[in-house]
Amino acid sequence: MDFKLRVWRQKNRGDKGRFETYEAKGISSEASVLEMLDVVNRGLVAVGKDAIAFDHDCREGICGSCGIVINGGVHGPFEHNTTCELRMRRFSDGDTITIEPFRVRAFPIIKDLVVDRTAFDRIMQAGGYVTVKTGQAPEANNIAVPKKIADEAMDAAQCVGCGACAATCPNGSAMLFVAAKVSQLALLPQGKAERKERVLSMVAQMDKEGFGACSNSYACEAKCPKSVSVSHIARMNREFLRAGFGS
Amino acid sequence: MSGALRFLSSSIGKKLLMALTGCFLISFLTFHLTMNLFLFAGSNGAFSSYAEFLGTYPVVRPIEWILFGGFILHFLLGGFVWFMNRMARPKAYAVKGTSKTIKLASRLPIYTGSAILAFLVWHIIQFFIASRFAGETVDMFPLVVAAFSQPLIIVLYEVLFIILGFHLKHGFQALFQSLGLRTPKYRGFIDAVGVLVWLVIPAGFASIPLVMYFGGIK
Amino acid sequence: MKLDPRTPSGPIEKRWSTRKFDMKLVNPANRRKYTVIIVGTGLAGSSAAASLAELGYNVECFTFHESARRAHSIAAQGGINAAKNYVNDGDSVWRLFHDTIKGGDYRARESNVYRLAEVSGNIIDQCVAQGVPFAREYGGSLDTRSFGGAQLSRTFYARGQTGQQLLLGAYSALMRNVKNGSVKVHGRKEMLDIIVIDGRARGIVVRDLVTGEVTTHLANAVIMATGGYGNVFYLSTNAVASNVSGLMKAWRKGAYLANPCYTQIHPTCIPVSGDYQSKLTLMSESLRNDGRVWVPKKKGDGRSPELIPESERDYYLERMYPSFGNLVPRDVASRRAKEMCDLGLGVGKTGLSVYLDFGDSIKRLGQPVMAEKYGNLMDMYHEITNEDPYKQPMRIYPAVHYTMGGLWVDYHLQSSIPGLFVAGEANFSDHGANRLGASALMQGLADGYFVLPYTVGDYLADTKFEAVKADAPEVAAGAKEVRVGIDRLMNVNGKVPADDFHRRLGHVMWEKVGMAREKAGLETAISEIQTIRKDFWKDLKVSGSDKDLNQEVEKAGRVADFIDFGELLARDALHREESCGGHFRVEHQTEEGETRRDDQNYAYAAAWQYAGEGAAPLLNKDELSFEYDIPSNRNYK
Repeated sequence: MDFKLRVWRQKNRGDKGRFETYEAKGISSEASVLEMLDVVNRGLVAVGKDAIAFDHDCREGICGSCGIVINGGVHGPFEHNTTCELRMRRFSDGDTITIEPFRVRAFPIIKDLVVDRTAFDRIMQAGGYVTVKTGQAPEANNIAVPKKIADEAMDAAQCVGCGACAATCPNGSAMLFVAAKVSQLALLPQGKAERKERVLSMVAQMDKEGFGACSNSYACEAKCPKSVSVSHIARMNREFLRAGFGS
Repeated sequence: MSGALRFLSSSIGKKLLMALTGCFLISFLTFHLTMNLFLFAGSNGAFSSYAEFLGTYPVVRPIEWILFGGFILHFLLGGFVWFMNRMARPKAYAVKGTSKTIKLASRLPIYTGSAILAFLVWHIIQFFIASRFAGETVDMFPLVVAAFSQPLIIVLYEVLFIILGFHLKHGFQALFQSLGLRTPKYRGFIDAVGVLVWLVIPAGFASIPLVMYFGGIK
Repeated sequence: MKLDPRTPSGPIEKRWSTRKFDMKLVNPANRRKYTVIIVGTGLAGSSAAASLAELGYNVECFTFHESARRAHSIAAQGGINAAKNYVNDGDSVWRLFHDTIKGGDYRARESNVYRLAEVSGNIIDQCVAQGVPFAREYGGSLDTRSFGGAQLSRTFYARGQTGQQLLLGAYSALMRNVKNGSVKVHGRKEMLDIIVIDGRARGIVVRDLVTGEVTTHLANAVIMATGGYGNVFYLSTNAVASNVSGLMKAWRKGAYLANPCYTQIHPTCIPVSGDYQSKLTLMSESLRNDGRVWVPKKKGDGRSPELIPESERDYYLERMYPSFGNLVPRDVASRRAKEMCDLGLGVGKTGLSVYLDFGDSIKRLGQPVMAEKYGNLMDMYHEITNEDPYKQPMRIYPAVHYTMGGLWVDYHLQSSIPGLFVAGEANFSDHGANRLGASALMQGLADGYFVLPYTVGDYLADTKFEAVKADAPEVAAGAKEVRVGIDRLMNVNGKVPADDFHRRLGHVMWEKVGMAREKAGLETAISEIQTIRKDFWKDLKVSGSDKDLNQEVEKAGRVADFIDFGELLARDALHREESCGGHFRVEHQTEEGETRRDDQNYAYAAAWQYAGEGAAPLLNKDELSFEYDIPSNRNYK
């Protein structure tokens, strides 16, 4: 298949950036979007041009590294996939495809399509854990977790931290990411001891990073590669209320 | 900053306040509608007496201020959150794609809210100021009839009620989400009750000018 | 040099506790004065970093990823073994020990493996306490499953994302320690050399992947947890950036590389479909429980599978192994698949795949049941190949998955450079010649949570450190060497991108140093790899600048190391005149085509020593002795 690509090129954080046009010729319909970029890059390098920088690693939808905006859609115009999982057969031969980086204030652009998502690390540092030192753990089966609760916690825990929620949110809000962790740990007995401090400090850090607020459009849920539900946001809100007013 | 202030100034805290003021305003709307429905009883009905009672009974004054406060807080918070959210997404995507509809859905509350605010100012001048500051007790019923004899005013009101419907449609479920009550278990129920709120309340309001214009109310 | 594995003696079940007691301790008040550098933030790296930080050491963590959570441990699917015996099926530390030794084809150290089995239960406790949402029974207790042909149900799992959940657990512990100031994580920094002073590892040289800046970092000990080298085959189930450079830098500085020829090939991966392909996707092994493997009996049978009648299909695994059938171990299943394709019986456009047919199971259990069991995998397969596995058989082919070899370490996980420790897939220690399913996660976390916190402490307490100045000659030389290395890559200025050399190398490795190896092929491979190296340094093109984020610079450096490593791997395979586990020499097989070990001559770990550029590496033997588990032959007939 042949495509015409419009790709955002930006030398570094300070550069203004612009779109450049490339031809992607003879692309297999089975190739992923990233593999198509590999082919384009190969051509660029061979003629001594700067390759298009993009984040990627596992290429099987779990590491959360990849994340670009394709034709206005985060991870592409379809739902519930990561960029590396998106195959070219979902496009038509001859299509013009526009590729740009995530645009979120809290994810500054490093180069081309690569953004800095370390804000997520800092949010996790604020409270996305259970305080237990190595060696302090009690026998695992002493902590019973009903299957239903464990399953719900797992639904939330599946988040790959790709940032698609914030990138697709018109408010650049990271509520789904933060809620997934808050909700997972609020559901499990292990996380209950620190639930109050956790939600308050994680939300405070989220605000500090410059993410927007939730305006309940639920675009994040529709786009999330792991289909993390906005009901976890509801739980986080509840946790927050409880932390603020409860004892 | 004190704990409470920090709590309320956080993104979720602001949303909580939005939800609580929204909840308060919805109850006001319900009350307002109930009162307005007395218009159907006609010129000798209870509408004028209720209006007179509200206009003269002293206990109503502080409640009025609370109501104004609720409106102002709701709008200011909404405006502030909207502004902060714009800041969080400094650059739009070059291709709008699906983001266009998402954006619209998300921005709708601020647009509809602004329209409602503008309307409110006019509405307050038209009825509230006209009656309260006239210097004497005014019978509200003829005032209403006079207003709704003009097609232009009716059209404006009807358009506004449609806008209000959209605003409530978003606001009602959002209020439960912000309060953390929109769990999978209650989601269906909340959305069902939501229809009552965003459809029935505006429809109730909307029916009055129309019925009045076409002579249904004597 | 004589290798000292420092394995304890005495009854095996007491060895680790005795050794722990014998170790020296660092006074808690002094721990802050010791800096430990950890390279890599996967299961082993993150867990070690968090645990050492909790003890009070000053920890500096380096990863080339943007965040610790992106490490490739995240992609492990199946589960993690532990000898908990929760299901009352007779599991025990002894049995897990025995299974691991036997599964590794008697090429691992007994003491190490026993310790691994011993701490396996603690790992589960630790992870549960961190909030890892393992699968549960209705009563709330932990669920287990049997995995990879094991006869016991000892694998704990979190859906098909066990690695992700365990890594996020370790990552959360790491983040907690970043918050309290005891760890610093340096993201987007790639380690490019080790600083060795007076024979001890005292720091590393890193390149900032965003600015290209080369900096040095000093410490009292360095832990490498840089993962496996599966990508030497170019296509593997590893992540694209997984590389062998960490190991090679350590190797050139004097650490020994052990058993590089032990590579595990996973039988059920989605086949290669074209040149553009960047990686192979694993389909969980559990699929073989309900799928039947077959190829057409007729060569080049171009008919679509549903048109081939039963009588013209060869269910070759069931035919050859009547009792184990489709559930034969990974290496056997992989080798047979390749044989079938080499005979021209392979299916698909490329002829490089075999069918894994769920037709019978769907008939027997119905599609809904199958969807409940494997829905996730079926969808993934469908999405990638555009073929519906409910309607037509899956096509699968083996792919490189895990590498048992790695830097040689002693019982303390210390390499042959004092102060350089190696953990997780990067070391060679616990799996022998073949790894059991669901044991990789166990080993990574055992090393990080329960071994290194003791052994690193012992090393620090036992060593008198001279202060190293930031401008010491060894430090400056380390940084300079790295800069020279980068300049060398930039200045080749040929026409060919690094990826092309990598692909060429992968092709040679897969064809001649892959599943079935023979002398002539290995010798050709070595000379072909040498040609690739020559071409690389003549024709390489790295475009752009090395002073900003440039993934071509990163790739070029990694490919250069892969080339050198590929040759070493082939040499190791050539020297090991036996077949065992993941190393199959065509010359050494039984009449039935099974591996034939040579315990007389090859019961050792081959620890290769760097002898200078261009010189043949030196072989050191770490002899293995078996006191508790007497070697026997595997038989799956």
